[in-house]
Amino acid sequence: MRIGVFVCHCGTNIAATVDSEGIAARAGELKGVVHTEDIIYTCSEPGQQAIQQAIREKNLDRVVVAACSPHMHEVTFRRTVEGAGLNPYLFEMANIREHCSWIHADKPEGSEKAYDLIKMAVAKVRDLEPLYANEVEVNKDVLVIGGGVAGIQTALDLAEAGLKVTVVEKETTIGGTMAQLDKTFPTIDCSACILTPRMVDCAQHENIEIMAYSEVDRVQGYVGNFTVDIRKKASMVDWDKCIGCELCQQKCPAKAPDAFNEGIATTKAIYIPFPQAVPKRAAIQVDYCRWFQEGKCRVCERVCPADAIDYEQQDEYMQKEFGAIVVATGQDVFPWEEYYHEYGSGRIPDVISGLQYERMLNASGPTHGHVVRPSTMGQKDVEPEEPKTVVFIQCIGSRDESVGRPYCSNVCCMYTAKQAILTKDHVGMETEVYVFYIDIRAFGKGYEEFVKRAQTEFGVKYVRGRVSKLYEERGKVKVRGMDTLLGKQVEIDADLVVLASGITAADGASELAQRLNISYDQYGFFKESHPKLRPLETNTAGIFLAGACQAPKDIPTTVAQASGTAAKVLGLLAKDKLKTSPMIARVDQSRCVSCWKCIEVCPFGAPEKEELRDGSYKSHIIETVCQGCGICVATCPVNCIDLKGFGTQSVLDQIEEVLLT
Amino acid sequence: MAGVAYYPGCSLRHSAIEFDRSTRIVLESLGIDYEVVKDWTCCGASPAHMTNHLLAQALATRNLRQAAKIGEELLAPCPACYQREKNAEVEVHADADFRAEVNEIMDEPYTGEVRVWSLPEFLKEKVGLATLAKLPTTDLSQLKVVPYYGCLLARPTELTGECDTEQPMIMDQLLAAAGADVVWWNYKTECCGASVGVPNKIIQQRLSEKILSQAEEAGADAIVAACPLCHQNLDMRQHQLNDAMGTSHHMPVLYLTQVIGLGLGFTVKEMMLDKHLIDPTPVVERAIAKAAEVRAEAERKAQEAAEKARKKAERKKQEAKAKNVEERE
Repeated sequence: MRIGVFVCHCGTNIAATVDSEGIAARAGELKGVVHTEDIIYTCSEPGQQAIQQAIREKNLDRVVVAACSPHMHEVTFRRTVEGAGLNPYLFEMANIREHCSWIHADKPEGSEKAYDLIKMAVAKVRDLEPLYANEVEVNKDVLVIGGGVAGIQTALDLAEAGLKVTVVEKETTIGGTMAQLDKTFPTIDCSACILTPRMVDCAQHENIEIMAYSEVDRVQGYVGNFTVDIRKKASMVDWDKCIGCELCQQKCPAKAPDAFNEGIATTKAIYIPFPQAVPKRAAIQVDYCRWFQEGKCRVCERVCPADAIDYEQQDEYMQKEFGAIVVATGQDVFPWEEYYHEYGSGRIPDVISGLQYERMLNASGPTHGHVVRPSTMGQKDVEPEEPKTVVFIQCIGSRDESVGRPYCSNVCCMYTAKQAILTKDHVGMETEVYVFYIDIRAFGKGYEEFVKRAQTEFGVKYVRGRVSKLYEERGKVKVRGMDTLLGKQVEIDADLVVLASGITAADGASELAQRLNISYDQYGFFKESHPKLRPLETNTAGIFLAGACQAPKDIPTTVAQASGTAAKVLGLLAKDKLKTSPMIARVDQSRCVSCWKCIEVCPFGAPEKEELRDGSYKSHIIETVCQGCGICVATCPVNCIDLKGFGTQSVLDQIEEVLLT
Repeated sequence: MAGVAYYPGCSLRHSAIEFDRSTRIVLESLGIDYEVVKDWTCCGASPAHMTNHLLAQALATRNLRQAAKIGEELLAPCPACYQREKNAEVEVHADADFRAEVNEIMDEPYTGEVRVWSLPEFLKEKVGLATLAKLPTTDLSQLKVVPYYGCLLARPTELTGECDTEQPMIMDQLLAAAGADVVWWNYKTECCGASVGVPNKIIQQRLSEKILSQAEEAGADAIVAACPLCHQNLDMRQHQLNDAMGTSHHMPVLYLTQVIGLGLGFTVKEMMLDKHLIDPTPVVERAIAKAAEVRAEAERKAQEAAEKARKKAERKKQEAKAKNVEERE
């Protein structure tokens, strides 16, 4: 056995706390080690060349690199040794950076620990045997979960490239949050005008199937071969017949809360969220329907010219196969009512969220774009009143640890500036508009100039400070806050207060993450595989991210990311076959007692009952399904399953090495 | 319920004696077995904790020690006392070294684990809102009240536990259980001026005046407080405040336990309503009388409706009979 050990300095990342040179020299004493070397940057081109040169010159048959986390560069070095003609699985990494130098301060102690880690890695490579990757067929269809602007962009890019795409959307229409917006910053172009044609493109594209009002129930399989259970929720309307004429909605006598208008208006129990909906199909909210609640009515059935109403409709379940999955489930508005009790917990009608105000500004919204005080809306004998003083409060549910949201929501500074400008535009320049802010984050292209325009051209008054309390007094909303630049308390009698509610993870995001087997952070946003190097991938191969489900994002960033994700998916599915990791479980059937514990615990369905020639059944691992997680190895009561490249014996050897020598 | 130690503190012995009496009467009628802490000392409120931390905590801890001789729970109705005792409880129980330091300067060491309760917290947790809601015998549904928490009952969260500092609800819930008409308002936790009224009257008057006018705007008959100092600023100084500010407020301020006691059937006299400078008696009596009228009116309507229904049923019966006869013929 001829082992080579390469110890990295990583500049001073490792060398500051670990004597790389000294421990490289000491490693030469270990059994089987014939070559040692310390390298300043092992992952650099000269570093990798040094490894390859040593393999060739010293005829090495095993390689250990002591450097950073295998998460970072294991793949890199496997390629390096393979390039020099060695089997890539005869290689092991010792993590002396994340697990050692970065977390210790004392150099002699750090060096000692690093040496222990190297000893363990050497013990492990002694046990390794060459492994060879398998290949699996790839399904080229793609599932996109979420039909907001992120999902739409990814779906269109993929479809244009010739892949079949299925978009699963939980609402009855695609469009997402962007469909609710009036204008977009910093250009003030109409949101619907740029989004709805893309929605139509989606619907008309021969390669795209939109499954609206549907949810992903279960995901099985692995990269290239996912099996997904999809549930189409009962809309009580036969969508093959429905023509989207809205007659049912006009005649329906039952009012229901209007989620699309963020609750500032009501819709009907049978509804189509907005005129440009795609698909434009009606659905019944059974909780508000007179037929379902009181057992009489059936008006929609009588007026429907297409005979599409079906009160007996049930959820439909189906199973589909995909090669890759893109998660684009977006975000929700921070539910400020539950947290900001000092702002009235939603009891004050003239205090609304940014997205509610957006609906009010929208020409197709409940007020047709007229800005009015909500307290004067929809009442008999009361003329809707325009506000004379409007106060915006930023950072609601953002940068606020007291509500568990220390992060910046990314879009609120800009949408507040936009709404402030639109207020002046809709109501008149004489309107008093105030913005309470912590500081202005206008980082994007043309953003800073946009905020400046709001301040100088439109005369929006920016007050630096937080508002401590909102309450009603004599028909006004009293805004009590602090101007921290003047060092003075301020009180404003407002007619309308708009809270720049931030972005929070979508409802049910963590449950979906569990179904997909991807990670999410403490706020419910999905985690990318690496923030710089793999920002579009998740840690589960074949599952990708797009848009605000990963972190708060504005539209330009979302669309850019969505296109990037499409490129990533195309890169993956350009191959006809995928190599699978050979580091998977293997059953020693001569010792298997057929208890089937492995089948019970495997999250991927890899073990199966295999009939032997004598008619008995033993466990067998389907190689293309196994992900090498090792759960069956730890579960097997007779230890007859082993993980290739990560054998039980090699683990014991490592322990022995570090404890007994 | 055995072994609840009761810590009155200085205010409840003198200026807020009606708070003390009403609290004790309510506790007794709810069957709570309490015992006054023997040989209690000052809780240290304001002067001690602004002077010396160790002294402040030791003063309060001494009372915990005395309470431990009765049981493991201490009820301190005055919010200032509650805050001081709770503060000591939290620090001394969590930090063994600090406990040793405190014990060093005390005559006798404290080794117990006494839990300190505020009055609203105690009533909600130990009696329960559902139980309390079943007990009222006097109808207070026509008495419009606004609960005033002040500063010490609701904050800081680290001491008061689950209580929401910006929008506390516990007094709202207790008053609703007592049968009163609880009105929503905006000044639940605004500062009344507290002890600043001693060195600088005008600041306290400005702050207290806002609370009174907000209560008026909300349409309240009375403010309900649970703090002797708030009560002093809002009730005792109300005339003074009116003179200084040129206002004419006449807003009675009741203690939480007085309202609960009234609901439980105790008289205005027993609840010592006559101790207040702004006499709440007329407001309370009017509300009780009005409730009786409303009830009588509702009963009369119910009777009328029943009578109507009976007549209608009879008519139907006769019609059916006639029809029957017709058919037979």
